[in-house]
Amino acid sequence: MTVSPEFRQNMISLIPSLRAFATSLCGSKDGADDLVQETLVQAWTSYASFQEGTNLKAWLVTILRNKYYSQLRKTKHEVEDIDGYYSQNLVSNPEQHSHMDFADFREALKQLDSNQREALILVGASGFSYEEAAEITGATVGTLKSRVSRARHQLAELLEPNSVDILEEDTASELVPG
Amino acid sequence: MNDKFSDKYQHSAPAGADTMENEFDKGTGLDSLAQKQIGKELKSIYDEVVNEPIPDDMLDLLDRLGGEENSFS
Repeated sequence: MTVSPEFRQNMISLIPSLRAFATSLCGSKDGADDLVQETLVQAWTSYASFQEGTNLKAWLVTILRNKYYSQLRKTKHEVEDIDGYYSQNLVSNPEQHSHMDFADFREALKQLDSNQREALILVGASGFSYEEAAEITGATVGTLKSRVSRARHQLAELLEPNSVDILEEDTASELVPG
Repeated sequence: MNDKFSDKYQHSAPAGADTMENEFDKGTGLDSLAQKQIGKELKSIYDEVVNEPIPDDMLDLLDRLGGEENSFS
């Protein structure tokens, strides 16, 4: 089935947003672009199931995030050297971080539980409303709000370890994100 | 402008407590300046990718997808 030129053009104009969403979600450029390519292929072949006039961006993001989670299930774990990261970076020298260290922001984002990270990106960067994000993720608005709140709190903890009431000496062993 | 955010944080829960859902929504326990910075930084890393040109191989993919259907003979 041939897609309309309008659909094709609209899809092209959304590719930058898809790449940005995928990169923030995956934490890796290459993985992100692979996801986007798979999404484009599926969007093309599933074109018949798209209702013209509805939110194409939400439809594409839904395809993309579903693929991301399928991938996660297949690999069965997210490979993150959590202990290594903490012992080498944020926690070991808390005095060095008297302010939020945004060089670590991307890394901190990766440390979040994927549902929380996704929620934060959808609402905080991609520009979706809570209602739209709820539809994309198949969750309730309440759940989305909770995930976003947790994501923000977790990021604040990761970027400024002394900011929340955590005992410094126990931080290394007790800081388990997600 | 404070350099030490730690001074401004309220301690509203012991370490490891995961019972603060309502408080999260109301924003207690988190510095709003810190939250603004988190929001700004998130948008910044996101926008960085939005502003990149589309990779050639991605556009090529679309051409190949379109090419299968469009045969002008």
